Amino acid sequence: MMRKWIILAVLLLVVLAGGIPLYIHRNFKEEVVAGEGVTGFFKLSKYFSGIEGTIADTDVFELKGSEEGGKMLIIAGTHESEPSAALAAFYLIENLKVDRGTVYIIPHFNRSGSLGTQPGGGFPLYFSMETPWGEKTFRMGDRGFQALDQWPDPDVYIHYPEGQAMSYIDARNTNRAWPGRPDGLYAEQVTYAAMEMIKKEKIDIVIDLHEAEAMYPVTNCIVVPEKSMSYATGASFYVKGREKFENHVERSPTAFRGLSHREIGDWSDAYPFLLESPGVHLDQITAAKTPELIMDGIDPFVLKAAEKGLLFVPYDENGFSMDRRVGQHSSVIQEIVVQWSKKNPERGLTISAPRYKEIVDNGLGYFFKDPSKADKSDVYLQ
Amino acid sequence: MKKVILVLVAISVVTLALATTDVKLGLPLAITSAGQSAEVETVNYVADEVGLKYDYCDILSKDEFAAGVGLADAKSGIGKHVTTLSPDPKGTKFQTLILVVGADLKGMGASGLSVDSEVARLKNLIEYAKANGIKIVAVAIGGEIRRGLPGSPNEVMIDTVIPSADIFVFTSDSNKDGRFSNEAKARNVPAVEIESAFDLLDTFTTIFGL
Repeated sequence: MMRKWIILAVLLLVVLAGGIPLYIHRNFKEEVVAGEGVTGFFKLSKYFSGIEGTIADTDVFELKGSEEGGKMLIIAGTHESEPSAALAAFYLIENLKVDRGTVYIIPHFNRSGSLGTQPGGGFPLYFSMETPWGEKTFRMGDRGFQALDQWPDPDVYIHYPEGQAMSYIDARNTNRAWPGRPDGLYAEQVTYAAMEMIKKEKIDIVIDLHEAEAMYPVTNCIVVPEKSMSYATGASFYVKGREKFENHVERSPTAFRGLSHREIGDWSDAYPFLLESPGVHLDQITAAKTPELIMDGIDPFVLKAAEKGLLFVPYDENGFSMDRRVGQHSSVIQEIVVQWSKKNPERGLTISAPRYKEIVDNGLGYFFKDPSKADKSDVYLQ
Repeated sequence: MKKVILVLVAISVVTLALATTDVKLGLPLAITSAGQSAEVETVNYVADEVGLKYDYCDILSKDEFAAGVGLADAKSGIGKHVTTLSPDPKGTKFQTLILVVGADLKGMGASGLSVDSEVARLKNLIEYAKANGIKIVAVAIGGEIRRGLPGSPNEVMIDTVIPSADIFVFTSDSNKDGRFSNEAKARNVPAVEIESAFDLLDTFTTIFGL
C-alpha cells in the first residue's frame, strides 16, 4: 500500500515539476509600451465574432497618420517559434511613426502558439534582451496552434477551399490555413477573421513576418505572388544595395495552397509579402537551443555547415543576431512601403522608424521603453 | 602572399572594368530569363529606374524574338509575362538580347517548363541572335544561391548561355569560382564584375550609353 502511495507521489511530483513551468509560461505576459504612433487597439474578433473569447482571438494595434492614405497590415507570430517577427512587431508598435495612411499590427497572430514551446524541440521557455533600463523577457513559442487548444489533429489536413491534402500537422499551422473559413479549425478561423479585416478595411499591403533556417533556401528573402513582384523586387534591390544586407525575392508557388503569400493575393485586392530572416535556432544541426542562441544566432555547428558551403545565408562567427533579423524586417517593410507609394500615390503611406543599421548599431533593446516608467494606459500585456 | 593576392584581384577588377569602356550596346533591347529565377525582375526594375526601354517576355520564343519590337503582339497569360516598352516601330529588329541567368524550378514549373525545354528555348534564341548579329548579354546577379554543382539546373543554364555571350555582367558573389570571368577572358569578350545588383544602375547607364 505504502509503495503505491510513493509511486503516486513521485508521479505527482513529475507532473508538477513539468507542468508548473508550462503553466507559468502560458500565463506569462509580455509588456509592450504603445508609442506615439499608436492611435487604436482592438481585437481581431471585431471582424469575425466567431473567435470572440476564444484562443483564436488576438490583439490588433492601429497606427493612423494625420493624412488619409493607403492601409497596411503587419502580421507577426504566424509561426511563434520565429521570434524576430513578434519582436519586430513590438518594436514597430513602440517606434513607428505614421504620417500618412494607416498601419495595423498584430504581434501574436497565432496566440495559442505563443503560449507554449514546441514539444520535444528542446527550446527554452523564455529569452531575454538587455535594454538601457534592465532585462526584457519574452515567451518562446511554437510553430503551430498548441495541441492543448486545437486537438485532435485529423489524419490528413485538407485545405479549404482547394481540397489539397497536407500533413496532419499543418492543421495547426496558420500559414497553411489561408483564406480560412468561419466554421473550420481555430487556425482557419483566425485566418478567416484576418481575411475579413483585409477586405472590410480595404487593406492594400499585407506583411507576414517570419524566420527560416540558414540551411533552407527560402530565407533572407521576400516571398510574393506575381501581383506583388515588382514591389518586392524594388524593395529587395534597394535594401541590398543601400543597406548592404542580403535579400532576394522568391516566387509564391501557385500550386501550394494555404500560404499567406498565395491566398491573400488570390482572395482579396491586397498585395501580400512574406518576409523571411535567418533564425539559426531553427536549424536542426545546432547545439543546445538556448536563449542566447535565439538572441545571438551564434552556433558552432551552423558555422561548420557554413564552412562546408551548406548554408543559404552569409554566416560567420558573429552569428545572426536578433538585432540584425529585426533590423532587416524594419528596413524591408519600409522599403516595400516606399515602392508601393511610388507606384500608387493615391494609396500611398508615409512611415518611418529606425532601420537596419541604426538597430544593429544601438542594439534592439535600446528602442524598447521601460514599462514601469510609462503611463499605465500605454502598457499592453501580450 | 595575402598582399600579392589582393593586388592580383585589384588588377583583375580594373582589367574587367577597362574592358567595359569600349562596350556600347544598341537598341532595341529584348530581355528574357534563362532559368526563370526572379533576378530577371531585378533587371527589368533597373531598366525602368534608368529609363532603358525594352521588350520583355519571361518565356520569349524564337518566333516572338525574330518578330522584333512588339514581340509579335505577344500577350501575358498563365505562366507567361510580357512587357513591351521599346519606342521603335513594331517589327524593328532587336540589337541586343539580355539573358538573365538563374534556375528556379518553381518559376519553370509555373511556366510549364522543364530544365530541358528551357534549355531548348534558350538555344533557339541564341542561334537566332548569332545568325542575325544580335549582341547577347549574360547577366548573373543571383549570387551563390544561383550556383550549384556541375549538372545542377543553375549550372546547366550557365552552360547554355555563356559560350555565346558577347558580354558578361555578374556580381562578385555569382563568380566566386571565376566561372564568368574566366569564360570572358578565355574568349576575350568584355566582362563587368559588380559588387551587387545595385551597381546595375551605373552599368546599364554606361553600356547602353544612356
